[in-house]
Amino acid sequence: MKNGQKANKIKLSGSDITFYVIAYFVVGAAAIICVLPFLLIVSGSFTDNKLILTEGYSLLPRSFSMDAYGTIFRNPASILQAYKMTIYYTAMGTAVGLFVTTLTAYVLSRKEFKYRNVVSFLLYFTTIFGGGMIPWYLLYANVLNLKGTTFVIWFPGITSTFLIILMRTFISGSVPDAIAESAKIDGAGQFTIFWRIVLPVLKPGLATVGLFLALGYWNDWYRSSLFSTNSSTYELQFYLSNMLNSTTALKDLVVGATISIADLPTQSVKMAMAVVVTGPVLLLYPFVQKYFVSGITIGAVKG
Amino acid sequence: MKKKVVSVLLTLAMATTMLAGCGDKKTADSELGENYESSSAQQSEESQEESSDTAEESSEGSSAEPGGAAGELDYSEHVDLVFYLLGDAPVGLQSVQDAINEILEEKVNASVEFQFATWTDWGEKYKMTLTTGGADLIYTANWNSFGQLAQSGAFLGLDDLLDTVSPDLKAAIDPAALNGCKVNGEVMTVPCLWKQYTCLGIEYREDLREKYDLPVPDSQENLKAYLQGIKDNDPSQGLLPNGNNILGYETTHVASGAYGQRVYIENPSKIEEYWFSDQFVEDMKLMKEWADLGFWSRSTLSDTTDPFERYENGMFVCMPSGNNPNKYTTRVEAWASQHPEWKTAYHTYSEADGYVWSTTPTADATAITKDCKNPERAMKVLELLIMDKELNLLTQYGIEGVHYEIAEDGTYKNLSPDFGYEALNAWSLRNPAYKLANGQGGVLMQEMFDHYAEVIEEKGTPSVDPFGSFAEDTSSYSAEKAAVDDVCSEYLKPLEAGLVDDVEASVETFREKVKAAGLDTVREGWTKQWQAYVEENGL
Repeated sequence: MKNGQKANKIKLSGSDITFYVIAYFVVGAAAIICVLPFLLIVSGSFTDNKLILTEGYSLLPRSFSMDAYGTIFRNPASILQAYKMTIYYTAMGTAVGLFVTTLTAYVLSRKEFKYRNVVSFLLYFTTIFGGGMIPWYLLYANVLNLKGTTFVIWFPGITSTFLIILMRTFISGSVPDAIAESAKIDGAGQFTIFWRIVLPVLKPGLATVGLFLALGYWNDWYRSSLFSTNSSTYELQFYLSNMLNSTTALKDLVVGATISIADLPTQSVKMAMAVVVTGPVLLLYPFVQKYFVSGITIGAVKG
Repeated sequence: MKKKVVSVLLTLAMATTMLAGCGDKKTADSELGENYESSSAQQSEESQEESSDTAEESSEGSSAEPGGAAGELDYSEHVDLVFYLLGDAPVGLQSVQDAINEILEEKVNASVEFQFATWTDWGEKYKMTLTTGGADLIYTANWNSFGQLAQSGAFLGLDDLLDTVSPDLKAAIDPAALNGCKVNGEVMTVPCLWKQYTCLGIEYREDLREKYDLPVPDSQENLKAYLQGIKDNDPSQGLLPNGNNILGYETTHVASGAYGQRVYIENPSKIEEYWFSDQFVEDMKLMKEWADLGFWSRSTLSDTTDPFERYENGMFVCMPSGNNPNKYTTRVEAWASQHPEWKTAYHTYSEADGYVWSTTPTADATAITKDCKNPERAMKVLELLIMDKELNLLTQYGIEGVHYEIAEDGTYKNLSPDFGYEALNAWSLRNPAYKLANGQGGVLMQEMFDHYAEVIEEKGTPSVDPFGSFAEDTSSYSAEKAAVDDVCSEYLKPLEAGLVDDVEASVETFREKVKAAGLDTVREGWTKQWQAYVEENGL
């Protein structure tokens, strides 16, 4: 963008102009492709359900109706509860996760840690060979007996090998051994070195890893699906997807079974639900996006 | 560096073998390991024979216990049970569960925790719960692979338990239904006491029929006259979602129509040709005729919206397929408040023949898992949940006065969104003696069910669906089946929607293609299983 403006002041050559026209066109088209479906959702959420059925979706609501939102917020307790839990999981998981990931990465980056290669290998090993879903589930549900707790929903996601390696690379790139050594000479202990010397240098790395973790938590639904035994511990995304799944499932089932289907959500309620769930993230995104874009390349640059 | 890597790998290899050895020994003793082994066998299709052996063993082993302890049950030790159900947990679960446990605690010194699969990945999670031994009592259904799971030994055989622990419950079950719950000669699940009927029928707009003075669509000619009459009077009115099942009047004697064959109820062991018969050509010509008359949209094949939702909004005038009394009565009640000027009516196709049997008993049942540590207590609790009025009402409607009340006309009236009608999804526990109708729709549905029961009695036809528990295992011909299904969606669907120009030529193409896709293999595989089923059930 910056370069583009500078180039604007200098005279643009013909090929540059062509490039800009094509580039803006392509990027613009991509942006429209991304925005249109969302616009359809928003418009659908404000449309009367009958109109959706008879005339299909439209980009602008043909007849404005707030009924769908009325239906949702008539009894908002469960959505708010899901919101609350997701914020809790995200805050808890990201905080603990950042701490664990950074500490692990820091230790692995220290040359005086004799077995750092072995430990790195063991960590790396898990990305190639894993136990699979059933043993993983068995461990949490039957061995540790954590099914139904809130702990089991945020704990399994606190770190990943990818994040540890990303962080380790970043630390070895930005914290020279000499710094740690000089601090040691000045009498600092291991934790003081980490906390007061290393951590302040890691801010961009922390932002990246934190964002990865936070987004992971915000978008997760699978752990709720497996471990939640009570709707009060549901993650938001699970709450949403489960609502859609139950509508589909009940409609299929009712062909052969006698089940009450009087209160299934309508099309417009589903749309309104999607807006309610994605809205806050959408507002938050522009503010953290700059970290995200700059952060992803962090682990990749070394030198 | 190389040396280092090699040494690391070696250490690792050693460590793994040590751990593995450790693990084997440990888990072999613990129940967990056992569960896991037998149930992982259960998952792999190839080892089905092997696992059915284990199933026999385990059911023998466990059924011996209650036989030995015959008579008195020992309630001295407290037992916690997990009851696994499908669907979503209601918000008010905890209070209802507490109320149930208070009674159970007192009566049989046991408590139940209800756990739910939710409707997200429910099939997968259901199997996983069985695999990991996470439940004692579990909801089973034929549409949730009950047959397959029972074959591989996921559930306890209940013959002895029913006799020794719950003779009252056993006496309350229709013997025909109990018979339908047998797998390899042993009762594997306890069917729902409430008989449900999902008799296929055509639902139509009675108000329009009256308005234009048209015949009741109770035969194909009358349906045609009904549709044409509405079309003549109001050309803008949508008529049918598609051509599905407009031949329904003629197929009431068909027990199964798998892969273009016809099996008739009167003689289920005789399999007759359909796709390659002249009748098929005639039928497809009729489809084209109706499509050309404009009875359904020409873009029907690409329409993905739910046809019932559109019927509900007045966009069609009849629904000949995928319907049942439950759906119909739900709509009657919805229309009474939303569209009082509209009227919907239902004509059951097979009522004249008396083939209006209730759904197969395995469609709605409760089993005890093979991992249950206290099968006797679980059986007793199951019996109480079904037979004890107070407990049964709690499982179905929640706490009276908090979640529901009984209206003056004796129907169910909801008081709280925290616990709706049958909110535990414990459908298999429904007991007709205590069941409350869900509003006027529910009353109407029960009336229809009672009527079907009368018809059956009058005609002397079977009371439960004799063909419903047939579960096809397609594993040995899955590739051919996929190819046949593909051909069907490409060539058969347009035929059935009447969207082809030359019916006879298109039928020929379809026949060629489906034959080339491996139809004979699929039919052979299916026929073998069907014949075995017919023979086993003495049909």
